[in-house]
Amino acid sequence: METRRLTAESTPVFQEGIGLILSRWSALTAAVENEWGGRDSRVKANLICSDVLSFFTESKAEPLYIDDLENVLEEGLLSLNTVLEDGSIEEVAEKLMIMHEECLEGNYQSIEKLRTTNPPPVAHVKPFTEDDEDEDDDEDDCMDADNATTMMEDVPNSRTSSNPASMPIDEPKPSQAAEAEDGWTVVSSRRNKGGRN
Amino acid sequence: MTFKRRNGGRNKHGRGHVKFIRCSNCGKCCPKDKSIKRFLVRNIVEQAAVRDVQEACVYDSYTLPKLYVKMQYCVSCAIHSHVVRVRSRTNRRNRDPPQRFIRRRDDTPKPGQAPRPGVAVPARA
Repeated sequence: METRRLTAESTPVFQEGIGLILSRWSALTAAVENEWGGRDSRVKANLICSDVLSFFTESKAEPLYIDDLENVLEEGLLSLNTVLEDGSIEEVAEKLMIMHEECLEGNYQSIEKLRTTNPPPVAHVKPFTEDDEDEDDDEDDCMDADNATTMMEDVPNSRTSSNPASMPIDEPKPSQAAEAEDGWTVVSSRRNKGGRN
Repeated sequence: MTFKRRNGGRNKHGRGHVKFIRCSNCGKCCPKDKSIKRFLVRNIVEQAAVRDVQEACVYDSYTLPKLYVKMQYCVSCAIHSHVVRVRSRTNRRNRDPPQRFIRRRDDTPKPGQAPRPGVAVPARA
């Protein structure tokens, strides 16, 4: 039975579905966004899409094995210098196989559902930097706007004007004062604050 | 003496010097362009312990975070830990993405496709 043949009309839809699934793959999008494969990471990611499509359309063996599909995905990720050990390759391969089966039957519901839903936000992988400094600056702006030293003069101004989120920082302060009434004094761990005077 | 590789085993063009990094395995100094770089994405909790952690979790449907590590190996460590492999002289020039060994089932190999060799990751081609 020739059920394995993708028709001419379902192939572009299936291709779009592949692109949708891969764009929702957080590891792949992280690799592309952070250029783990170099400057042409996006080109390599598109190559993965076409490799997957050719796996489905051009492989002559009757049963398509998911292991081979996982190998295709693994090779593509290795071209992006990425080694995934979190099991997402198996999940994505399974989703692709299921979508292929659905497209063979002419069922495009899952692809349309993917089209309408928004992709999840990309995980921005940033190297670990000192966060204590930044938090101190924001809190200092709100409390010591008058006593800003000359050294920090430019930085607090830019932060208060450009960072609207600095306003809500005022709210925790009254709650901290309220806690002091219990007999406990809140000591904030701002080591730089003492040093600036 | 012969040149083993056209780029000299590293990716330095138009520069005189590249600062070195320390190998993440042994601590050896290796030039940044010469090191073998891999990005590892792993779950913080291993597969065996995921169920235990999720049962003990206070929050409902808490997606476990992942660990993103950039590994930079010196050539010695990369070969020792099988990240890369030695290749023959003709295969060294192959800069294609490496092809993993396809586990063949009992059915006949696909006649349409060229047989995929068990080539591993290039070792500083």
